[in-house]
Amino acid sequence: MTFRQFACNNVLRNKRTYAAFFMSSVFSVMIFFVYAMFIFHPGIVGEEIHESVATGMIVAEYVIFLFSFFFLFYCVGAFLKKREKEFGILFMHGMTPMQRNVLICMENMLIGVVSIAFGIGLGMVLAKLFFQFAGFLLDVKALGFYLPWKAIGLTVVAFLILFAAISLFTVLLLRSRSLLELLQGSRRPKREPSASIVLSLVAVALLGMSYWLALTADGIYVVALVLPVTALTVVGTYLLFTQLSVILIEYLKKRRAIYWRRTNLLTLSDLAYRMKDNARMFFLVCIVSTVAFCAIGTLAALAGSIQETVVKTNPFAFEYQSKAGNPDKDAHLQLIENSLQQGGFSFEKYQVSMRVLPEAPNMERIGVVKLSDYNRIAVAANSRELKMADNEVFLLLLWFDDAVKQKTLRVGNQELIVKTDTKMNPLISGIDFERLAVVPNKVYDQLTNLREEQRFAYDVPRWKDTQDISLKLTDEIEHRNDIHSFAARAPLYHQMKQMANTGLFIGLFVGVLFFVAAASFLYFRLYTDLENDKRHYGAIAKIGLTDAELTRIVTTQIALLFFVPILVAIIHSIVAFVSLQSLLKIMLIASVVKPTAIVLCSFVIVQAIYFWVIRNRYLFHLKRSMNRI
Amino acid sequence: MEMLAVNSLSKIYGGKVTYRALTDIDFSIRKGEFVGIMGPSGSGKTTLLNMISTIDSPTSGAVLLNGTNPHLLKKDKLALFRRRELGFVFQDFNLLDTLTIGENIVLPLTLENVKVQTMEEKLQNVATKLGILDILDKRTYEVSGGQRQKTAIARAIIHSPSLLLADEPTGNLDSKSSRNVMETLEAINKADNTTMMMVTHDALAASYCHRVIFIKDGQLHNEMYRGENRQAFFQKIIDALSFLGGNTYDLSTIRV
Repeated sequence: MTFRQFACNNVLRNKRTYAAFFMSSVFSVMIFFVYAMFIFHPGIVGEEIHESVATGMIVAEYVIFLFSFFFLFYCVGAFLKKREKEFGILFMHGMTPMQRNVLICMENMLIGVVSIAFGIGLGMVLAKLFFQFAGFLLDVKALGFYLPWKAIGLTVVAFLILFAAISLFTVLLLRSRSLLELLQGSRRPKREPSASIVLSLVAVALLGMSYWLALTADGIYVVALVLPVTALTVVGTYLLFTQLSVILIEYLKKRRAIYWRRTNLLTLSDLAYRMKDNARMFFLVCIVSTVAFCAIGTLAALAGSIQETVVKTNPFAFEYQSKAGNPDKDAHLQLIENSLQQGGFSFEKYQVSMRVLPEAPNMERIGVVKLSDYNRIAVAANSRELKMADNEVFLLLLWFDDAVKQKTLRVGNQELIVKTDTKMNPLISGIDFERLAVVPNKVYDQLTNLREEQRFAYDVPRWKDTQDISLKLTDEIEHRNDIHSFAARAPLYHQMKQMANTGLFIGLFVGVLFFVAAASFLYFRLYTDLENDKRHYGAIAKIGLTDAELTRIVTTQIALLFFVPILVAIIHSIVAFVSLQSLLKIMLIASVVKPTAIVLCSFVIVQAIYFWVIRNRYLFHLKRSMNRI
Repeated sequence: MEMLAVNSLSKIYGGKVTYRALTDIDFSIRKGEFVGIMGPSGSGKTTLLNMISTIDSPTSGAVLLNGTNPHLLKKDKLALFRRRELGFVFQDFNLLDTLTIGENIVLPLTLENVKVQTMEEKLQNVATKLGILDILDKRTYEVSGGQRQKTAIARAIIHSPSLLLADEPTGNLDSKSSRNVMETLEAINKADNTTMMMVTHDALAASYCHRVIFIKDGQLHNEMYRGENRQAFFQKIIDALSFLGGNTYDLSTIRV
């Protein structure tokens, strides 16, 4: 056995320990590689959508790389900690510190090289599927498969550097401990973590403050608060797991009625004993999951509410507005209607007339519409019908969150009382005026000698399929702002959908990567505990512990491990989404509840399945070591 | 010829309450001698062994192995010293689970970067001597406790160290395996003239030594030489132990 073989044996015969670490390395490499394949794809040159996706992916590549670095670095450190005793034995047999460093580097590079190979291989296999998925999401023709030499080169070089850097940093940062400490290894009894009440209160205060800030922040302030709130939450979460949780367990342990009740004694004492190890892991898993949830949730909210947003901003599939005296009006309307009929689209036509009030100095130009006309449009657009007295006028908003300041408005020779509703969307815009006012029919009919505008709106039930017609019409009806305007909903919808899906597409895999990483933290933690637990429960079993009790204790512990950080992450994310909602409202995105709920639920379901599998495996190993099976 | 010399060795553990574990220990071991260290629990046996094995360093005094004081060596030199001059057998075997029995045995040579062919020869040699030739390809969890301890012994002697140190080598074994392991150690001592020092609780194990040194409360108490008769020596050791105030518990050979 040469030294090199020795290093290989250490890794290859320890497959179970390295499994999760290896899998998440492979996954990182794979995502990185697949993105690189997309970025370097010869087919994307000159295609606008693909190019913008590629730009986004370059950013994602940096994120993946940095995250992989920190994640793998943490894992390697944790592995070495577990192997303290092994190193102690090796030092006893005369391993020099230099040899240890070489050993660590060799092992890391071995894992690195194998995961690069697997990651690229897997990426190649899944590339076709990935491109198909991209094509489907982005609503374009899927890219073809190609031999991605550049992508392979980039991935290999990047990850070789990454693993080399991790080895180097690990070796440099390795604390030298006395041989005695190393030999005692993890069997040395640890002291229970101590926590301070002050810091626990600080944790509560920090989290409370960040939640309060996030929940009360309105509109555009959310953006300004993102960084401070994130910082508060991160610190607060850290203290929550390292301090407050310890205090809580200590409190429970003082309540003998609870603590000494059946298996609680074992569960709680174990929990307290391991809190020191678990706290940091809880923290990491929680933060990483929160990032994953928020990223995917936001993107899903964006992508999911596109239709709603577009329908709100463009209440009709086609709209044509014309000033009085437009010579092309009839030809244009004819063209629209013919095109729709030829395409086999059923449609309904609405028509309103508006009059432009004489301009007052320093005031926005106001157009008026008859109440009955407006209500007809409003019903067709699924908006609210208005009711008003004869001496009232209803001013519509220009955009969301816009405010109407004036109390009265002079229309013709009457002074009308202004009413408004900040929750209503503007349905109609003008060519010669900015703000629309709805006036009672009587008032409107008395107005004379004013410039007139007409609006024709087409409601097409199958509007999503009108993309081609829309583009043709937009081409043919020359958009002339001074005489007429034409708007079609379908192209806007497709454009926005593509944009949102681009984000979703890029963010999804990065988010999933984060989640996988969090899962492998958990696997690693459990695997480290397994050996100790075998001894621990073996000893307890001799005193008399039924299978059901063992199962209960272990299930409780693993469940806590799996769901406590996720639960905190979900609470963080929900707070984030709530505050995000007020920001998205400005961007006309109304509902984040449904898509984010779907995202959170699917994460919880995946986590639950993962929990179930791991728990069964863990119990199986424990029971087998105790000869219960 | 003196192989190991321990000169006025003391160890004081610091911390909140300082604790004097060893006081002025002086003794020496000749080449080829097999010495046992005995004493009641907490008497400082293991501390003494840790000083000699360079696992721990003394507060004052010196350990000289072949005239070299390992505690004065630099880290790398110390590693080479351990690799070439010392062999260890632990109570809980301390084999590496990732390696096969054979690989565990050649580990010191691997670290020394010896040629594979030489390793192979030495492995066959030592495995034959210990009668573990047929389990060389097995993994550590596939063999019995006695076989594991023999593996550890093989690992400790494959590089022909100047001094073989053993810490309760029979502590985790049943009486039959204990006897077997002790006979193996005795045979190696005879055949190769290997110098050995063993810390033990076990009077039976100690009876295989040429000489037994007794420690009590961190100080040398007395020493006893074995005559021709191992049985008589065993009886003498038991008498000495009860005189030292150790409980009968200390005599048990099996602890679970």
